[in-house]
Amino acid sequence: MTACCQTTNGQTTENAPAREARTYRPAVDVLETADNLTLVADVPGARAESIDVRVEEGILTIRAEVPQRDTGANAQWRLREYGVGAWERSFRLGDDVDSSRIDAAYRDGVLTLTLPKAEHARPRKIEVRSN
Amino acid sequence: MLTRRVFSPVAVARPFPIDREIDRLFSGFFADAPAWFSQRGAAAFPALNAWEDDQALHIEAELPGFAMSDIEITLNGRELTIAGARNETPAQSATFHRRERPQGRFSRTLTLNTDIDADKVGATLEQGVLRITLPKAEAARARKIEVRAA
Repeated sequence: MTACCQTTNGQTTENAPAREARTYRPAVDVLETADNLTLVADVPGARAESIDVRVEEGILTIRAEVPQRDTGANAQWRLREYGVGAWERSFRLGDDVDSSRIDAAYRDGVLTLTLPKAEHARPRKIEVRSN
Repeated sequence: MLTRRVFSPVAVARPFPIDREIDRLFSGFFADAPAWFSQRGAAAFPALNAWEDDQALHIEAELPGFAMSDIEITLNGRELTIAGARNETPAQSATFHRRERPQGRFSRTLTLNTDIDADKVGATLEQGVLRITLPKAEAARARKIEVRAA
């Protein structure tokens, strides 16, 4: 077992009720390129239409509702290493992000947000005149 | 590789309630290490849930961003191995401000408590959730199975 060995949720709570819906904190990557910030969040089990992305007062919040799994009527649990519930996490946006043009895409349990940098935060090529 | 008996009495739920903190998008290059790093550094990947009914064992794992072709499921007698890799390669010019999502290879092996009809094992991968259905062998089904509360 090598690098790929952290699971995707937050803190450990023992003896939690078996089927109580909770809210979990998704693992994210944040990457920066010249023009954009990209936020990639693992929110498995969600559907595109159940994901809410909003910016309010400079706070970006992603929330993804996840239905409880259907295990059938007489299922006996044998192993419970993670809980299932909504994913939610918030980020404070700096002035460098143009929050009016955020793009969100969801595929295979991964939410990808593209946050264009504000004009003043983009790298600029300065023309050099020769006199 | 980590071996674990699916049907050992250990069945501690491990849900992770959100703390309502607000992250900064720019983390200051890991000045604040991601919370999971200290808390769960040794956790096996992927975390697994498993349940059993009269007909089958069911095992579920969260593998967001994986394709079925990235995942290898092997049943050898009663030993089930789930292995695979996630290798996302970002643009070379990209700078990471946070990197919490697991990358690289993983492998987990479970020892099942019952014989499986290996020809009828099925797996689905939907919205990043892998579900493996392992139908019990005929002989195992007929037997009365003592069920302990998890």
